[in-house]
Amino acid sequence: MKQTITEQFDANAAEQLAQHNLMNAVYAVLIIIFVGILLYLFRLDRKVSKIEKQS
Amino acid sequence: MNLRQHWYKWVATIFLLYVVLGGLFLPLKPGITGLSPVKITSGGTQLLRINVYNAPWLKENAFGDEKIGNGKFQIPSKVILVSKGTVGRWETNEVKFSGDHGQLLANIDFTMGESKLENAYYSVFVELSNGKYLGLPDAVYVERAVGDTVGKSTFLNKPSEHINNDREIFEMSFPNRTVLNESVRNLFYHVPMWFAMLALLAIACWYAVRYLRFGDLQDDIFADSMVRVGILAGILGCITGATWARVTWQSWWPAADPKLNGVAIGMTMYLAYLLLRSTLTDPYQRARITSVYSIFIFPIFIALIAIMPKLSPNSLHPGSGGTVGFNKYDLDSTMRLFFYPAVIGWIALYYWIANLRYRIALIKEKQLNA
Repeated sequence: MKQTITEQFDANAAEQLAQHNLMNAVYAVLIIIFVGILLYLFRLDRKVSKIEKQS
Repeated sequence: MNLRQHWYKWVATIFLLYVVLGGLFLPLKPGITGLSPVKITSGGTQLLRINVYNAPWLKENAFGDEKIGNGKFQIPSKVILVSKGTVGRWETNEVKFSGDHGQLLANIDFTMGESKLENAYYSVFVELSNGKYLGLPDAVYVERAVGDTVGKSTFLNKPSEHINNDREIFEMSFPNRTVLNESVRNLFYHVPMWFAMLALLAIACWYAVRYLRFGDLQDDIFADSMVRVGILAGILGCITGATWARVTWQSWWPAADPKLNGVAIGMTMYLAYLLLRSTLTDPYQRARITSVYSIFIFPIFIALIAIMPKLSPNSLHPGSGGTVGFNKYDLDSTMRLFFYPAVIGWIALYYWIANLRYRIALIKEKQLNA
């Protein structure tokens, strides 16, 4: 069966949809959370160092 | 280490390890992710391309098992289109495979003829050989062609048996929701941020009351630590939510959503708390004023992010507006198995961080007094 141009276009769009993977959003969210918590821990760490210097 | 004293640290470690590993590696249930064309003009045979994500027939092929179609393995046997409120349907048994990504091809004769069918949206279902269905609601719009007014309709005017896409069969896999797809796993990472923030703010509120009651500065420092780490959880909740919204709702911050507006106001109130605290220098005055402020804004915060979105007519978030949340459609049994530990684990982790911050602030306070 020979494909028409519209059918080919549909096939490409469908292929793209199939490859569209939202797993990256999950990785991004996890990385944001861990980076955010680590940044806060570094800030706490700085605070401890300051106190150590004073005593 | 004394187990009784450090229990929440173990809870945070074990639960979060379980949630992160399980949430990343457990597979998603198969589901229809896309379809083309999405608009069909009647009066002839149309080729439908249906994309199936995590197609079960591909998975079985990967194991090299050739027993396809014996009932245990699932292959597509029928493609059905059903519109809301009608008793008939378009369907075909001719389903072909195409491509490597679980794409299906189905030729369906759409003839409306002399029937009184109107233009409508149709949900698409793929019937599998084991009797289960994969479905995509309101996926295709079928419209009558100008010349399609004579002859018999191929629309089956028989009462169709109920197509149940949400059968309660327990499998260790996450549900494949339309739009969400793989990102449904973010439920274990984005949503608990808000639960953790609320938990820490509630604890802060309790200790603020304690400070006003007993006047012990330690209670104030504890409450302050809880608020600060709660704000950290809230900021991370905002950023992760924006990331998730970008790929699913196609916008970083859909401003029409009542929950987002509520959070924007609520977060501003808590940022004002930080500002208020930094302007006051006398520890007792600072403790008294910020305790009152903290107690005052906590119920408003709850109202803004939990109650107002429920009252508003519509919202993108589940559990608010007209949408449902935390029922069997949003949280199936596998999701529950990870969601509840995730909430407990993240609360424990943030409590742990807040506790560290409290101990540091306490030492600093003692140094200042010495």
